Amino acid sequence: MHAARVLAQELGTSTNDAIVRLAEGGIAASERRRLVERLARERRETVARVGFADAVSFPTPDELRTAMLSGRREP
Amino acid sequence: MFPGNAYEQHLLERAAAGEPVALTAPSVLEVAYGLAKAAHSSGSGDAALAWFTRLATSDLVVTLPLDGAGAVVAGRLRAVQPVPPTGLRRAGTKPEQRAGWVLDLQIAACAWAHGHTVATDNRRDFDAISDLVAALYPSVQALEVIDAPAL
Repeated sequence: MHAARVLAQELGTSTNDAIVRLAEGGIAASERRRLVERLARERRETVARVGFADAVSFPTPDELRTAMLSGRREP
Repeated sequence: MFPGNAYEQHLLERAAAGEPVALTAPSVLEVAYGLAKAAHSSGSGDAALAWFTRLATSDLVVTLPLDGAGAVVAGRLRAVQPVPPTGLRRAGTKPEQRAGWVLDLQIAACAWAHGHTVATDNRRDFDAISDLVAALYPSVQALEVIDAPAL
């Protein structure tokens, strides 16, 4: 109730109106948070997905060594 | 952003509203590097670095880590586009431009993997990165890029 009273005073409105505004703000924030979480989950699942053939084969030590160093060389 | 300006005010308001602004870890790295370098070269102390350190390690912002998924995406983006495609816009030597490009790839990948939008003054490069992300992962929503808010 304290937040509603403070907001009501700031906006020059009733406490009931402030409660409604706070509730709407909370719902909107919650929806934004859920959207971000959903996007992150979908994207991470996509990144982690690999084909079966790729999942059951492994790089050689030479391939991996070359790959690790290539990021430090000029393109 | 600097102490007392509109961006800091915006950041404080967002934190007070329970929706703190998110910074990617590579963005924090970039700013900390710039402030530390300036402090070393000017010898004028590191008040700015101290201010940013307090901010970046506080609850006023959320720092998005560059974790496994984000790092894989950044690496794949760099392999596809190792140098900035919009070279005309960037200042600095070629190595500096490339270092900036790698940071931008990390920032974009980090934000995308955490489900966030990038707000930037550098629309051309980040729009280009968004296209690269969309080409790599066409089945999911691409990186959203917006202009940094004019405050």
